[in-house]
Amino acid sequence: MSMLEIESLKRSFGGLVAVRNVTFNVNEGDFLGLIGPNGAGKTTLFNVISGVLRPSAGTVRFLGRDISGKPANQTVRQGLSRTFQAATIYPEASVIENAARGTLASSLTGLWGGFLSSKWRVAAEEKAFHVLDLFGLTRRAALKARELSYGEQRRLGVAIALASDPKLLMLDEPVAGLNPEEAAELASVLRRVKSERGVTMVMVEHHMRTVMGLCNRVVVLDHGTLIAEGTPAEVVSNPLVIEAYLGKEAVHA
Amino acid sequence: MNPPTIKPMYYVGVAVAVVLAALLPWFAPNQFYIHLATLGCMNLMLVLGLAIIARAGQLSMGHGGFALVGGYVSALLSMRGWSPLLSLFIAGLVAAAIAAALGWIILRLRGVYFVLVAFAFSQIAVLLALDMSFVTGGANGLVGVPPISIFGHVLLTKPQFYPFALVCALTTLLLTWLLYRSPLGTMMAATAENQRLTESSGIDTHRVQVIAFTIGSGIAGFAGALSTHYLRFISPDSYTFWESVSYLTMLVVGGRDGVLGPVVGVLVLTPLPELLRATEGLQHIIYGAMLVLCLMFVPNGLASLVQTWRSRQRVAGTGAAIVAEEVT
Amino acid sequence: MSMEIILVQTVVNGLMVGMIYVLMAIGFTMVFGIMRIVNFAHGEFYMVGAFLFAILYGSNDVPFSISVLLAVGATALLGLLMERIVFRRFRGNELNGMIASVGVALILQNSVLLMWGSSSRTVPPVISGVLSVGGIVFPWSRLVVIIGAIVAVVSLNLLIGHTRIGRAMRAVAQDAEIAQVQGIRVDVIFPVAFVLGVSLAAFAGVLMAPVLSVSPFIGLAPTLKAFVIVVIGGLGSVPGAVAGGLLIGLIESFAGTFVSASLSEILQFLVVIAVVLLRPQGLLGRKEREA
Repeated sequence: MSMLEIESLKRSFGGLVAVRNVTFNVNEGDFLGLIGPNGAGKTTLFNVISGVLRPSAGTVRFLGRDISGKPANQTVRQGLSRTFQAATIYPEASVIENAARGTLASSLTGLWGGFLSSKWRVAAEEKAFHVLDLFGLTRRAALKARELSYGEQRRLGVAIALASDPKLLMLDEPVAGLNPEEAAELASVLRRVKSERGVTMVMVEHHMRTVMGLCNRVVVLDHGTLIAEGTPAEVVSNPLVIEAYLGKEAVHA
Repeated sequence: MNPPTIKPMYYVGVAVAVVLAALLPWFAPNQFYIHLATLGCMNLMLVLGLAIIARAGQLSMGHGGFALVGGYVSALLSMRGWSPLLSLFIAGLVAAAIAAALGWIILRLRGVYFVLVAFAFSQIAVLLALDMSFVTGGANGLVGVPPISIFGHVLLTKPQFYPFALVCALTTLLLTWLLYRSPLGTMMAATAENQRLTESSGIDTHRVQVIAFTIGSGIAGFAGALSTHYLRFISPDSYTFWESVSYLTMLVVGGRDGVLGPVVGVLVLTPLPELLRATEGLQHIIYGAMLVLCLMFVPNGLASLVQTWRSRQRVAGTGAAIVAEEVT
Repeated sequence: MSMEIILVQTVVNGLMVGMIYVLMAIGFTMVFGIMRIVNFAHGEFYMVGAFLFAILYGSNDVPFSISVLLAVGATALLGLLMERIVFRRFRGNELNGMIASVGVALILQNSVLLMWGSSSRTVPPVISGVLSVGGIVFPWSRLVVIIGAIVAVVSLNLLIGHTRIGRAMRAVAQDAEIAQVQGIRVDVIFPVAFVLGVSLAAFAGVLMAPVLSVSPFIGLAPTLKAFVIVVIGGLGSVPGAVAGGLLIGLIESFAGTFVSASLSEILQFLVVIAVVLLRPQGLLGRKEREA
């Protein structure tokens, strides 16, 4: 079943078209990689899908419901969560508090509950501890988030997004700026999240090895247009993709 | 922050402080101290209102405007025969309603614009009070506002009024503390720290900020009304821009996170204007200097000094626990 | 008085007040554009300039031109001092910078109050008489304010548009980091911009001193006006400050003459809300880039 359906999606800024007529689906259980050379419109597409930007035309359907142009806070409550490249944590709050804040939208008390009882707090922290455990951050729970190493901060960012119990998790360049060791560690955490929680994932990533190692399907964008779609093996041997990445000469040589 | 596991010592401290405050009329050398304590109670409410707004990441430079509105609403209603005890709450609700309407329009925008609109609103509240002299008495204000009476018990003198002000202030303090611990309070703190991330955790941050602004301004309206019934007088000069600034000073000097900050700020800064009444300019210079110096050297306020010390102890404790765990 | 005369006087008044607002708003917007600080103390420098001028020219008969130079120069020095001690620590920190500027406003206003008292002073007119054109008379005292303000705005424009330091200031306003990479000494540009803004405010105070009475409390209103104008015109935009200043000056003058002063304030408030909602980048401002 298709979890996310992107149909003829377009987004322009002034006269500049960043994403043109993109159509693809994400199926339940997929780990979809979204790749493309610099300036291909990946981040714009990502922002439109997750509700940070409005589409200029086209629709985004999540679990059969049209979510195009809906604010991010609503799509999250329907089960679509995302991470950001930078500033993905609450630096002054403790690590456990960071993860607990991720659970707020799904907590049962709503906006006005929880004034007199602290049951919601216990429940939120229990959930947060489970997530931290999955990400290997339990030991760090009492530290302030800004005291973590860079790699740990990136992992915490994903943990916050996962704390809202998403059905679909969208990751914006999760390993950018990490050293190979940290990147491998994050990749293994993501694999574990995938197998233990059964979360469907979409990832924008430059780092080819991470994409090839994690994703079962890959979508390639170039100049805002979808140029290829398939398994990692299919995509890397596609001449259009090679051309987009390496330029024409490389293909003819 | 995590709700720190509250130690019995903490409760004892709070209880002692409350009892001392309640017993003040019996050991105060003269009525002036009771007057000062009453002003402190009202300042505390106003500063807590401002703190709630700041908790959600906004700064209101027009806080006095809402107190002014509250003061006039309650004065006018009670002078037309309404029970002051009821009109106090109506004053708070009117101020909250104005804040909700204004906030809904304006809080979508960046902080600077919000500051301007709240600032301009308070100026207009003063102008309207001056201009609509047929209702507000113009520059002379309203004299002879009825005192508060509770079940026929009229609060006329300072020692009579003080317990009521203290109950109001402590209730506000308790409610603020509960708010900060609730999911809504957690959302407010999250919004202030990283709005985009909070939004993408499924929280409508705009709504959270409007609610904070509404609650904070409603408290200001209530406190303004309370003060009007205490002084039995209100005029356009009662809450000018500089009053808004003094609440901001108390908040920044005391500390912006937690409920301890406002208490410390009010305790430190309420006595100052009254003690330096003779040289009017000097108290404001001291306010200004404390504001600037605090921002430079203790940007999280005097209360943060206590918290830093406490968290250092806590970190030491956690470290010891981890070591113990590794040994076993 | 015939309608015609009232109309002309209203326009002249509007232009005079408007030009003063323009001077205030340009300084305010420069400090915001370059240092990212909303300066609530801006009007206090206006007040200090007016006060010094009132003391020198009004009370001690110091010659006019020397009084102007001394009043503006001393205020500029005060501005430099404040930039060194306070403002430079808060550049880029919008929230704390704003709060700190409120502290500075408190200190300045009340220091003047302590030193020279709260009573207001009047300054004798610098020039008397009227200019009569086709039967309509223009009082010279007001025309002088307009002319003086135009001269200041034009010279500032030349400075920003045609000198190296002006180019550097524009570069810093656009992006301080990139400017630094290009070799612009950002730490010099900040005080220069701040002192320029303060000098304009002080000059506005000097121009207004003979028209209004001078007291320690006159600084807040022009601060609010500058803030309003800058938001209407676009935060950081100098042409926006000019257009917004004249607009607000004329609204104020017309509403004040024909309706009431409070109504004009409420009208301005509604204009601000409308602009903020419909065109948050201001009438002449550029959209901020998306992060």
